[in-house]
Amino acid sequence: MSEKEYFTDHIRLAEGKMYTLALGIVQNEADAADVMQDAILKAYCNLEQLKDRSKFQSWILSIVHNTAIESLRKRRDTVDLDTQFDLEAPHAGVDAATKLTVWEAIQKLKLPYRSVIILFYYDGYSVQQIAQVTGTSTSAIRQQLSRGRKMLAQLLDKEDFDQ
Amino acid sequence: MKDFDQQICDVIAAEPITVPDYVHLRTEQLLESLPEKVPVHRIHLWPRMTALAASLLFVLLVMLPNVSVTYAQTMEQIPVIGELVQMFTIRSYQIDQNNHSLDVPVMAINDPRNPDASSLINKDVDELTSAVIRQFYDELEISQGQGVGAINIDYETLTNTSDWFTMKLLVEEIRGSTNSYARYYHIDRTTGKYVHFGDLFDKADFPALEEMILNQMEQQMAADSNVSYFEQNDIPSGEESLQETTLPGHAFVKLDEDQGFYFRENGDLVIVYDRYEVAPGFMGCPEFVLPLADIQTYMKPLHG
Repeated sequence: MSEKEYFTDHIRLAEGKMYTLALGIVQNEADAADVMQDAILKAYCNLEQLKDRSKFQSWILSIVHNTAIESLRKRRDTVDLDTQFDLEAPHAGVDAATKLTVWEAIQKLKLPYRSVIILFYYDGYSVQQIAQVTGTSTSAIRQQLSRGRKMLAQLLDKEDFDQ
Repeated sequence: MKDFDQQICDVIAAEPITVPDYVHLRTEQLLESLPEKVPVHRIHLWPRMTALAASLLFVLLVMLPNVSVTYAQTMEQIPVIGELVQMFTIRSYQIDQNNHSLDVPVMAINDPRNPDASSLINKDVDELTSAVIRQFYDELEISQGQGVGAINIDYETLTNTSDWFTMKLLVEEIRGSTNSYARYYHIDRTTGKYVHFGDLFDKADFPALEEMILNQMEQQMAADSNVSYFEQNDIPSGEESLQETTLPGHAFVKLDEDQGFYFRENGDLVIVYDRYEVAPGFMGCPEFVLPLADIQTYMKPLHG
């Protein structure tokens, strides 16, 4: 199997996860598509840097994550990685009478909680795997995941969601 | 919280995020266009490079500088292929489905002397072609496979010298009738600037150029009864206020800062309008030549 065949096969397997993560971060389809293209090119040109081939998926998701963040920065979006979410008050703009879907609720989270939640719930990644993808420490990921889940529960109005 | 996690997972399993068809298509096209990997050291054996290594170099030179600044910096260490601007097809979309067809190659350019201008042009071309493809899918969905439709894109290098580069991108849409429009991309290779019409002339001088175009229209219509251009009274009632004209009662010729244009070899300026913009559809995309001698006094200095 050639390098190209190996690479293209694994990209096809990871395509759904790549798109979900890109879309979750940049929050629109067109930019998510661009992020995927850029990430694929970067990955292919640096394929020799992937020493453990069993880690391909987390490696490509890491590239997608970084490319998406860079795309946001270039758009000069409000990306405040240190913003604390107010757990006591409902999120601005959320109508208590409107039931959000899970994806809509996740889109209302700010980074880095949004990407951590997507990797945890959509990709089934462990704390350690999420730390590898995002280039963050496991302790930071545990904290972000804990806060992210609380915010998500609040947005989904957990009582209603339980029903 | 475990119950909450399980509920979230159950919902996600029932409603996964799906990759849109056009995104999947772009991915597949990109994967197919990737060259086979070659040993890195062979890239430096210029000019004894094989075709495979050359194709990888083309990927690195053309695609990566537009992807990441980091790669662009790496490119400075690689020998320049040549002084003229190179054009490459980096991916191509071809669809033939339910009497609807799409043929859209996506070109990229590489000006070894002006990578920033190249990147800006490649970004604009990518945005335009992406919009055309999205339009195709939207129309396919709306038509539900009924009727006939086609969208084609073609490219042409009009000028490629040590001083100036112009590429023409032509879009043809066929839906019952035919619509076509062209976009022109220019690099002043001396200054490295991605040039638009508004860089050539002050807006205050646009009326003088419009007058020249109007005179040509009137001369053509006087000489040939088959030639027809719109006039003010052709604009539907109630829409006049939406469109300014510097020449009330005459043809609608208003120029803007993104006006399509190109230069002839002798320096004459050619103004290009889209189909239906200033004339009925049978007139195609009208072009008007403004001699260099007539426009020189109006032109902004581009160099120095």
